[in-house]
Amino acid sequence: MNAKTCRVLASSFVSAGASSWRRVVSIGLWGVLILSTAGGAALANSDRPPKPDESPKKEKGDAKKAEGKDEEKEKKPEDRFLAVVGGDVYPGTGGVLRGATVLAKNGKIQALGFGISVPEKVEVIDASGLSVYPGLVAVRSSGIAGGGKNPEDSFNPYSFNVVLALAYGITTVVSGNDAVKLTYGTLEDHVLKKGLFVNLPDRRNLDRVRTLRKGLEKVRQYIRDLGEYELRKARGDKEAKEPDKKWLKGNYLSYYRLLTGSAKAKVRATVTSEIRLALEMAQEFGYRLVIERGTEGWTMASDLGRSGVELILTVRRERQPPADPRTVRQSGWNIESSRILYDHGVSFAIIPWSSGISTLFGMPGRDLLALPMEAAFAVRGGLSEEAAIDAITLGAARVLGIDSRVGSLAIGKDADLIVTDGDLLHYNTWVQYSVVNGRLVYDKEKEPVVQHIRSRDPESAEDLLQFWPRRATDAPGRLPHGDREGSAQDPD
Amino acid sequence: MGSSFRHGSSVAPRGGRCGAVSVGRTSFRAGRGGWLFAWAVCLGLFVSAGWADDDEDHFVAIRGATILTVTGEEIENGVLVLRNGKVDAVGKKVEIPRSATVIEADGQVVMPGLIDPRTRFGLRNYNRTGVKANLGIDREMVLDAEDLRPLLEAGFTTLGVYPAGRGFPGAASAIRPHGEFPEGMKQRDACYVRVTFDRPSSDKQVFLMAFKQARAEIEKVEKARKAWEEKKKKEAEAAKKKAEADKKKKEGGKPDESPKPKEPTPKPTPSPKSRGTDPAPKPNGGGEKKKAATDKKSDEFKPPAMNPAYVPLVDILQKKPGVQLFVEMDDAGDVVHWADVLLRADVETEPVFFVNNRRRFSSFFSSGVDLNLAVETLGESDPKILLYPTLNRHMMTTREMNLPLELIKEGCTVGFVPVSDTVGGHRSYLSDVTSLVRAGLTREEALRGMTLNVAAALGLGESLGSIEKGKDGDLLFLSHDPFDPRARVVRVMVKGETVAEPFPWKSRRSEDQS
Repeated sequence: MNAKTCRVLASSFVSAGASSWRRVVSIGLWGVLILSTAGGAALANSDRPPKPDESPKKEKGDAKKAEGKDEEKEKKPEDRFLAVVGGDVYPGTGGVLRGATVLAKNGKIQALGFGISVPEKVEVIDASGLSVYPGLVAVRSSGIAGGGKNPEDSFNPYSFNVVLALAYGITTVVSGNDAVKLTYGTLEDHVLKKGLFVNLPDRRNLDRVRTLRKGLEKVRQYIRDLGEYELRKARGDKEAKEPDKKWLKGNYLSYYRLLTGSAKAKVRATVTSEIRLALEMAQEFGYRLVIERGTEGWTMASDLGRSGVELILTVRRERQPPADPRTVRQSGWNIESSRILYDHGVSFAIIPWSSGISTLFGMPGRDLLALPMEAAFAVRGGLSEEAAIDAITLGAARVLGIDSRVGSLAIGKDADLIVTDGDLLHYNTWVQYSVVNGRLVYDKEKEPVVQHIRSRDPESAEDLLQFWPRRATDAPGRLPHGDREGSAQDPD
Repeated sequence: MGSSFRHGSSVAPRGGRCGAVSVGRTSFRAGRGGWLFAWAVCLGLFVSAGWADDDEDHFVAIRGATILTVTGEEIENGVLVLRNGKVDAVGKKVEIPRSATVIEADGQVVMPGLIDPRTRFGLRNYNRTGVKANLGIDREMVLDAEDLRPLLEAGFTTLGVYPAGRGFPGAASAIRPHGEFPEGMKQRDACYVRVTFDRPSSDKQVFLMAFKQARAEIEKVEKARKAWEEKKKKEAEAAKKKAEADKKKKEGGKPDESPKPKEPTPKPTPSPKSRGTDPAPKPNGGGEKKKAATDKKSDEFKPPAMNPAYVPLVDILQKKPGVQLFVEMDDAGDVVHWADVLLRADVETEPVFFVNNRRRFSSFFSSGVDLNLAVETLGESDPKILLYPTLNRHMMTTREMNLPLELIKEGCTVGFVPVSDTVGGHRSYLSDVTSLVRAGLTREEALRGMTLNVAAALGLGESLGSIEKGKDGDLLFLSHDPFDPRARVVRVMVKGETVAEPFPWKSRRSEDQS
């Protein structure tokens, strides 16, 4: 393989991403386009209905900022480089580049592949014998990044949980309704995307669903009226009146964003009836839908696949959802669910049961740090390894709508990557280095987190006894309870 | 012991033999009961004789002590001469004036009086929020010198009393725990403007809004000045036209008179500029303003009154000397947020940082302090940092860390604040700092951290913090070296006057004999 193939890979990723996006959007966006006329469609590009007073000001501010940045660049022409050399690079879009180089410049991947000349005096991470993966994306988190209105202001860049998350390979998390990066020690480029989802009520509260339907109908009517008005105005009808939009704020505004395709809806749905209701609503009004949980989704996988809905799955669930006595059908949880959904063309992200980090309370082993493990359990259910990794990297980024920047290793994307000492889905693999925005933010040998755990020796990887007491202070090959085995082998 | 502090008259030694105090050339020896009376009478005599008469200088000389000058070298068996309460001369061979009151301090150690830059000893806390940067502590300062006597006896001669609350709760004042309440105690107002920054999520917004408003205040004054200038221009033009018209009318009249109306116009142009940069309307400056107004009358530009709460922030924006922020932080993340907020608010300032390296819950959850992670970021501009003199632990470990030492290595100036705002906290101050010295801090840095650096944080570096000519004679007499665990406060001096003698001096020799 060489750089050319690598570029080909990158481009194939782009097309793959685009096609899947199209698939996802198809229902929602087409529905809106049919419903709304030219005017509505024009509005569909903006997140909010235009306000004449506000928009020019914002643009000015942005322009000023951009100018300021340009000036800074002129002042500081020094580029920030980081090279990860000699690792087995898994770009996340299929295949592996063995012994390849990833070169990051100013936080973006500038080159990826073979025969890349690394500039002099550049920070180099030697990854020979190690594996390079894109940084993991956690589609839910709590207690790691800050939240609230200004996520960058409430983020503690030196928080211990940030170090822990980086130590387990997570570079992007969702906190609240924003996607943020775990930029250790800095606030630069911390926020990826604000306002990811519009959270909608689920079937357990039918009153709220009814209000939701009414609201959606009102906004839909507004979009139709707006289209009609634009049409009449274009024809030169002087009597055309612009529909009133004073009420278009709060919930209505988020519905407007939904119906114009600039936001996704997120609904928590566990059992079939809940999932079906959410699906029907989404199809009726034509918005993009993400279903959280979707425990029983596997029983209606073909419906989900056709509808283009996305799922946030937890592979290991401990509770069976209550069986519905009114129907005779398959129900409950299934470890094969992710495989079945995948086979039916449903895209999904995988997240562990707990979205926090359990240092004292909680459920260690099923908290956020077990993100790769959760994906590994999907493999146990029959999912391919590539698909499992995709569900915690690019697939997860796609669900969040940030796949243009993170989730895979490709030229032009953000340099968020992890270097591991083996297969990402192996339970005995440890992250050696984490890189966020082209900055080395975690080094296993320097951070006193899992520093004491000795890395797996690749040659004796299969011999479990070899590394059972895996503390660095323990002699290799010692058994946990005394040295009975050794004494038995003793010729004396 | 604590109760006896409250009831005053603790200047007198309690029990034991009294030291020899030679006054002028005559030395007294008083018995157990009469000592206090004699001493008081002598002092009273000298106060009336020396200070009542302004022409005559009042000298106090300290002889035989080891003098820790902080800025210079340590002088063993040195002489220190105070003139009217200020240091006049210090050295090994210094002539003692004839009229001097001589204090024999053989075997004692003399150092500058201790300074607590951040205290609310004995005051009630409250929740004040928002921007009230102009408020001082006058209205809440209810303690008189007698209430603060325990701190004085612990060796503290200056206290920086800060306003409680969050956001910009106000400015701190430096007071002495000695003197007439309240004016006699006060040393300086507006030592620093306190800002809380340990909860960046909310504090950042407060900071940004505050400086936005401060800029608006400046703009308001600028606008008014422009309007005033234009008005003046128009008036001048009108006057000119009028003069010309008069001239034409008269045709060859007196040429001397024509420039007269012009005269006032060039005059005020420099004055509004100085006025504009100087946000004048301060409560203290009222008298001056009145004078100026009467002098220059209507020609003077009168700036519109600024919101007084923002005046200190305006001063910071305009880089007025002597105005400094006091930023209270918790951890390394706050340092990063501070750098970010300065960039966003476009403010350049060199504040004093206060780092809370003694968290209330030092348990499993947050056992350590992680400021060491951001030390390099902090150290870029060689900042002044105040913190508690305690050893810390690295985050989530049991590894010990000497945070002051790490900060000093990065070029920070470090000062120490008593670990708790109680009598105990102030009494253990010396031994707390000693623990840092034992853990690797140099003796010089530790001494500076207790005196000079802290004085600078209060903006009193010119008059306090070291034993140099011209500085105030606020002195602390110790029985041993300050970093010796046996060190006790023998005598506390404020402006050359002995104000407390908590553990009266017994000479080493007599101690050895017994």
